[in-house]
Amino acid sequence: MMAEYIVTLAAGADAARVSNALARAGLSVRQVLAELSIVTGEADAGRADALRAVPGVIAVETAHEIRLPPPDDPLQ
Amino acid sequence: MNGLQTTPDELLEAAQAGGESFHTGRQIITFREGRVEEGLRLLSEAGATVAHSGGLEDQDDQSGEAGDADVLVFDELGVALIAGGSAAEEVASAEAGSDGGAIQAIEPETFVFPEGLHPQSYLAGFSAAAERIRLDLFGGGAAEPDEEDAGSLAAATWGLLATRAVSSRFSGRAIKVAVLDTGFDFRHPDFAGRPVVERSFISGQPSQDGHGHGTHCTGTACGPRTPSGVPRYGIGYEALIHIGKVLSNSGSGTSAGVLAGMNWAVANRCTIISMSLGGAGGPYDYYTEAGRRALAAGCLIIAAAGNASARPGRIAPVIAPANSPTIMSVAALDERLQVARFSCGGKVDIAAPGVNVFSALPMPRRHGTMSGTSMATPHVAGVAALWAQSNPRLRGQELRTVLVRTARRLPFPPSDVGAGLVQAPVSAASPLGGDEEGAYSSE
Repeated sequence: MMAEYIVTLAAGADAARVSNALARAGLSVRQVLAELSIVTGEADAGRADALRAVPGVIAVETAHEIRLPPPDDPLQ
Repeated sequence: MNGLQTTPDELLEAAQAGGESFHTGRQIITFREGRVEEGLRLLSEAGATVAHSGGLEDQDDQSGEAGDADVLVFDELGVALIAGGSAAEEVASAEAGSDGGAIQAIEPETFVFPEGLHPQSYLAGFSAAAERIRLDLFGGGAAEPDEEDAGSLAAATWGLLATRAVSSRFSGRAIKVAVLDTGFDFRHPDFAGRPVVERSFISGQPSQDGHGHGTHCTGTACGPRTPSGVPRYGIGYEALIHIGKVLSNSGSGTSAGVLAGMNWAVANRCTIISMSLGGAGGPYDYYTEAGRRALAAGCLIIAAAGNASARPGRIAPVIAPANSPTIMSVAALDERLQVARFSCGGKVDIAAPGVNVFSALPMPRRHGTMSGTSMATPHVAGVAALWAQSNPRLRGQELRTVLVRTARRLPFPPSDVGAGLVQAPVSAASPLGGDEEGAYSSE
């Protein structure tokens, strides 16, 4: 099963190089957020540990849904 | 229903329910020059309880007879607001009908709508002034108006009064404020001529706000100083607006999209990044690290604590990203400066007005009132822009520190309100005091 992952890189890590390594470890890279040293993408749920093992990676977490109330709800 | 303690929104609701959409049901009395006291004596003799707009702040007990007042006098203006159906209304009508009486006119108070339907500035100021008096009488939240021009103070939302944003000489000029939300109504007349930098991170949807949430939040953080026909509701009126659409028109998104927006805002070196959004769980490493890197780049991320509580019975934990230590978490207060019943608790850094917040909405709605920690968050963002303008050293962690240090302490646990109510930098008397004074009032 595919899941959307958010990979947090260590401070000072070379985002381009680590994202290449993540791709080799099974991540279909969607965004390289250089300012934040974060890479997002999709991978099979079973690849999470392999992604964590990539040098320069400090966390691998699944993305989360965010949902606002409907526009006519007075509580926002 | 049309008493003096009723909010404009409640009045409007009642009026619309009754098929009458222009009149609040209250009356405005205009006294003849120099004859306010004489006119009030007449009303008192008729059994009316009179309260004055000035001096209420000095009373310790504001809930007693002042709360039952059916005449509120604006001494500086020579006018008064009276409750509908009161004895005072009859007497005032009779007096106004007599030649040379102390009362020049009695006219129905009118709702304020945009675009020339009514003599707006007068009535907008009046309506807001009445709201202010209501707060003084029943809440005490937004009190302490100092000696500023009464007119400009009155014509502002309670949130701008409570945060002292209207008392600040700062405007957020040249400070980049990013609002990551559902987008913005780029056609909104209150923002005509205002440059806006935008980017959508929702595929297939431009940044135009199809929800309303983003426009409302942007209005509070960056709305104009003198919107036409309504009270001032925006804080950083000269801030450089950056709109990152990270939530769809139906209000949904993912943390990956939010991170993309954060990355964009940091790349643009937005000094303040306002995020009235979140989800359960966390704290997540990605938000924590993103917040840390934003701070290092001089960008402060401010986020909503969440609305899942049902106080006093249940206090729900703060949502992500606000629960990350590197991101500032904002709780919501009501007009009485009580913790809003829905406001999440736990990792809270600061509190701000988040109940009955009036701000911009996409056309044709134009304006409206909402509640939530989503509304509290842009109050902090706007005030942060004022601080950032006051001193170029106030960036990132330093900006966060000054917000916390200058917050107005509240008698509630830090887990509910953090450091307290966010406060804008006022003009000369910087709360930072001492030898920092010069640095903080440089302009």
